[in-house]
This record gives sequence, C-alpha cells and structure tokens, in this order.
Amino acid sequence: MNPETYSLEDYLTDQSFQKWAKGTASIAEHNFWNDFYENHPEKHELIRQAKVSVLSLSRTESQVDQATIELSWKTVEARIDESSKKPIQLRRWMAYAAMIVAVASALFFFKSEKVTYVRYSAGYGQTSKVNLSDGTLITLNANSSVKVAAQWEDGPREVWLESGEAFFEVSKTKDKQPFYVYSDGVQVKVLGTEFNVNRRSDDTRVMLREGKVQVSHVNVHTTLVPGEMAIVNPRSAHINVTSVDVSKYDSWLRNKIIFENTSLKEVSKIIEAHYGVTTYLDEALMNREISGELPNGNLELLLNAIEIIHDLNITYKGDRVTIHEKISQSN
Amino acid sequence: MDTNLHIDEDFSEDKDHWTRLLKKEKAALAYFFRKYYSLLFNYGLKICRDERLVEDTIQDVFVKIWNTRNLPEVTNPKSYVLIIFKNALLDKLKEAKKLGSGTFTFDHDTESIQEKIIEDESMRAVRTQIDIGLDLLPARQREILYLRFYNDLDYQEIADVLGINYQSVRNSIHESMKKLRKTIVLGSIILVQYLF
Repeated sequence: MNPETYSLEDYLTDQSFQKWAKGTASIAEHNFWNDFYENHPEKHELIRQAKVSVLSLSRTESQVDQATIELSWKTVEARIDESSKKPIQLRRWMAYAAMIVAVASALFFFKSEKVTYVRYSAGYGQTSKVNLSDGTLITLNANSSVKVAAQWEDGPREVWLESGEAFFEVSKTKDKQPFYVYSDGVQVKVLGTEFNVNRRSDDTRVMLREGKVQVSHVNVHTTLVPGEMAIVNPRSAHINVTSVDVSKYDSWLRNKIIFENTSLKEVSKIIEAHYGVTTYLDEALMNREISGELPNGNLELLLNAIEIIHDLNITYKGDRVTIHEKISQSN
Repeated sequence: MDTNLHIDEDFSEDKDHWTRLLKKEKAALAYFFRKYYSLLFNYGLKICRDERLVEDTIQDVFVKIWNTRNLPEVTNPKSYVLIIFKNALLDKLKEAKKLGSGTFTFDHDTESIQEKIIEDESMRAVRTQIDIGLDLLPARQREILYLRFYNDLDYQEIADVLGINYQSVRNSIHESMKKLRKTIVLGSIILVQYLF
C-alpha cells in the first residue's frame, strides 16, 4: 500500500507508522516517514492527527517492582531445585542467602538509632504503590520517595516523605495507633483516612480526601476536613487552608493529568519534576494557558497536544525539551 | 512499507537466551522471568482479576518450561511464553469454574489497583473518551488493540498468541480504528480545550 493514498485508519494500522509516531522506529523507518512528511505538506494535518491518535492510544502499563519479581523468582528457583533433587542442604542455604541479598539491594536498607529503615521510590514518569504491614497503602507519584521503619513496634506508625508527592490511604488499627507523615518539618497526624502530600515546590501541600488529619508545623496546628488543602511554607509559622476540587489533586492516582488554565510556565515545571527533563520555554510563551485532561506518563502526547493547541514548535531530544514560537516557512 | 524489519537487539538477545535455556542454564530462565514478568502479570489481570492466581500461574509456567524435556527452538520466545501462560491461566480458571463454557472474556475495564480504591462513582465519569470508545469494541478487537498499543507486541506476535493469521490481526486493527475514529481524534485533540 502507498502512504500517499492512506486514510487516517490506514496510517493508524501501519505498524511502521505507529512506531514512527511513538519514536521507536528503526533508522530506516524513521528516515522514510520523516522524508514522507517533509515531501507531503498537504498531508501534514492528517499525519499529525494520526500521530497524536497513536500516542493517545498507547500506554505504558505499570511495571511490577523489582523486589516483588525477585521474591517470586526465588519461589520458582526453589521449586526447580526441589524437583531436580540434588544435594539440598547447601543449595537451600544459598537460595536464602541470595534472597536476602536480592531484597536488600532492591530496597536499600539503612540503619540509624537501632531502627532499620526502608526507602521506597518511584522513578521519572512512573508511579508506584507501597503496601505497608498495617494495611496502609501509599501511592508514590513520579520522582518521589518515602522512608519507613522496616518494622513497626508498638509505637506510632511514621512515614517520611523525602521528596515529591504521595497519596496515603491509612488503615485503622485495632489499638488505634496514630499514623504520622513528616514532610520537611511539617507533621500530619492521622486516624484512618485518605490524603495527598506534595512537597515538590518550596512549601508542603496536604490535601485531604476523606477522614480527618491534623497538620502541624512548629507550634501551629490546624485540622482539615475533606476537600481542604493546607499549604505550609517551612519558613513561616503560618498554615494556609483553602477549599479545593479534590479530583484535580488526586488525578495522578488515576493516571490522569489535569490542567485548568495552567500557564505553560507551570506546565514546564510539572514536566521537569515528573519526567526529569530540562525545559526551555520562550519568555513570551510563559503566560499562555492550557486546560484539559490527558493520560499521565506520556510526555510525548502532552508535548504534542501543547504543540497543536498553541501552534508551537516543540523539540524533545535526550533530556531536553525546547518550546518555541513556530517560525512559519511552509505556510 | 508495512514490512517488519525486526532487527532490534532486544530480539536477538531473547534468541541468545533461549539457546542458553535449551542448554539448561538457569540464568537464562531467570532472564525471561524478570523480563516478561510485568507483561504476563498485566496481561493476566486482563483475563482475571485474581492477582494471586495470576502470580501463581506465572511461577507454574516457568517451572513447567524448565521441566520440559524437549523445549522447541522457537523463533520468538516472547510469544511462546505468552501462549503457554495464557493457556495455563485459562486452564486454571476452567478448573476453578470461574469461567463457564471456556469462553474467553477479555476485560478491558480492569481497574488498575489505584482505580479500585476509588469507589466514588462520579470518578468514573472522568474516564477519557478513548476508554469509552474502547469499551464499545468487541472483546477480541479490544484484546488485539491492547496487545499492540499497551504491550507493544507486533502483528505477527499477536497472531501467534491468538492463534490467528497476520492479516486477521491487521484487519481487526483497521476495523477498530474505523470505529474509534471519532473518539480518538476527539479524545486526543478536542478534550484538551484551550483558552488564551
């Protein structure tokens, strides 16, 4: 078939085109489609539409974390060794030793004051979930980490948000052990509830979805009701509380990113924090705004959407994103 | 231009490891286990939502591969592992009578674990147009789209896994795209409204 006579569906069905759109094409394919695009200005609109469509259909599914896979592999390995009935004593011992090494290297343990902590983190462009022993679920947004004691004794349950953003669904325990989240000097005290903590900017933002929490900083305390967000600047003794649209602040849990009259300046900050790229944005474009909802975790799609909406020229190479006004040539 | 050049390194790495697996190198089995665990797990959850059962099945499959005396020399280990896994999972489900007549209901609407937590019905309304469009497709077409666009399997691999031919896969995608035409274009461009 000839791409010159392709309909939208034809482009979308062409595997080579799909790969080009996603940026996973071989060099030959890449050159072919680039040349084709260059030489067919009358097809530009159709091709761009097809490209964005491929991107919006494509998703990267969440990866099972390494530690889980390693533990699961140890089970397989043990079953294999069992069935081959070789001398067991030493092999068993080796399997357990390997298991300990695997877990330790995957989770990174460290010790202080006799307490062992585990750090959980999510890399750029991905979220990850942490199940704590008490049934509490923490969802980490991209480029975020928390620290938790490896074992909880009778005392309070404590979690440190070391960077980024996390959503907590705290389970109640029988003896109503308190649960604390610490973020840059800010303390959040909880009793069975759902809330979001974000320390990406200079301040810490605590958004409560359900239940009740108390936010404290230095000597100031405030209690939030669902739908409220506390904004705490570490250098001030004041806590700001505002009512917010909850679905906007927990949209990342549903793998959505929502913009509402968001300036491109803010958008580029968000991109940098989530995907670990450096953005260059023309001064003149900083106050342009976008609104809408996109799947999270797909930087290409987001950039494509901005490019089309504001008719800009966006390049994304290595870890550099450049956003410029389009210099019209062909039009 | 729809030829599949398939000279990626990834592919030859898989073939190398398969050869080593035929020589009973356990490290090669571990390689496939680590590499395809997430793929199998996610795919499994599309068939049944029991995470425990899916994990058990993955383990069984790898033990079984290891214990198979005459493993075939496959051209594409990825599809081979997927096929064995899918069959094993369907067998288990039949055994557990979780699946009536042995028909395969491919469930697009697997709420991810994050979504499961959100019990608020109104949240469902927030799902993008694309998801709604996908829901309207027949299960088989949805499965094919899923394997192509979520799991990055190529048409030949999809054909292998589903036991149909290459052209059928291509036709199915083409037909899905036709049906989705409105929603994907709207979903990808118009959903992002803009205000200057």
